[in-house]
Amino acid sequence: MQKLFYYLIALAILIAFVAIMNSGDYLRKPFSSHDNVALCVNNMEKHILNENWEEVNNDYKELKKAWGIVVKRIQFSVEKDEINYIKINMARLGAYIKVEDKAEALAELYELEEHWNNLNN
Amino acid sequence: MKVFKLDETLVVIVRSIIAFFTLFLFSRLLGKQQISQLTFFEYVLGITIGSIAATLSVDLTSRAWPHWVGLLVWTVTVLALQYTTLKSSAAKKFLVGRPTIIINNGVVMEEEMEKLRYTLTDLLEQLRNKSIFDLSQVAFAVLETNGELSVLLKSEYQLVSRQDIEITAKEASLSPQVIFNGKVVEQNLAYLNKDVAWLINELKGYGINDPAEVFVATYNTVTQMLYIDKYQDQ
Repeated sequence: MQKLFYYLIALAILIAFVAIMNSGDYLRKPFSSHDNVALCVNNMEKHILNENWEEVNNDYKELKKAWGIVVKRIQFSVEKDEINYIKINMARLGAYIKVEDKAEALAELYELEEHWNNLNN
Repeated sequence: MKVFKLDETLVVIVRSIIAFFTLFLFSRLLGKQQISQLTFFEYVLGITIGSIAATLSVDLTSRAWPHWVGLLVWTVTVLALQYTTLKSSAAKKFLVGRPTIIINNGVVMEEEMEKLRYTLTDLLEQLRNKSIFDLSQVAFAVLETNGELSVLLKSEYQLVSRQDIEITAKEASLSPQVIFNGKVVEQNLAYLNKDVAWLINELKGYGINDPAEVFVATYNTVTQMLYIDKYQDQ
């Protein structure tokens, strides 16, 4: 009985570890209206295409906020490199939005989206 | 511009905990062999598994999961090999190798040594480790699969045993602990068919009123005597 108990504890620990290491896909999904990275990216794409820079600026702020929330949750299960790439994309995106460069901003946003999709691969 | 702060330290702590306990549990699964009992292959396997665990712990450029899977696969493979060698002697011969006679009836087998890339220096060194400084004393020497050298001395150089000189020895026995760190080990008392009342009575004979005064006490089943070490050394 005691042996079975020890085996169950060991199994529970291993299952918990597997869950933590694979939680990235689940934890990057939005849990509230403030952490929806995918929605922010989609909105920003539309507004960049329409060159609605005021809205793009708002989207950028929302995206930064959402990413700040999500990254804390997913940092244990994803590559730090992918996180860093998104961080660089965000910084460049901010600069292109500031100078209202549609092509570069869009390119940066698409790259950011690609890294976002690759986070848990 | 600071977009967010990735708490690298926290990630390393979490991943290290995962690596540590996974390695601990997997090592328990792999058994109780000591380093000296490992074959060269098992030794290398151990290093590889340790190295994967280290990467899982601190290499943040990749996800923890692939490393963990690697750790699992290596452990399962070792388990499978252990099981195979346990069940099949042919597989054991193939996977682990077999012991090789290096000295046969006092004659050094140079050809066997060459096959194993085992030099005379290695042989003499391993003999010296066994306090044998004269090659002529050795009748047989066998190089085991874990690299250890087993030696049988010529009969004239072997130590005299009690049997040789016909002396009867007292039966060897275990001495279970009956008090450990001031606490009575009731499980061992039950094994000895004794109880706490008996122990307390025995302790009184040594001028001890409370088992808590005793650091360690053992009971020799042959001499039926207690060995007692108190916290207060005189």
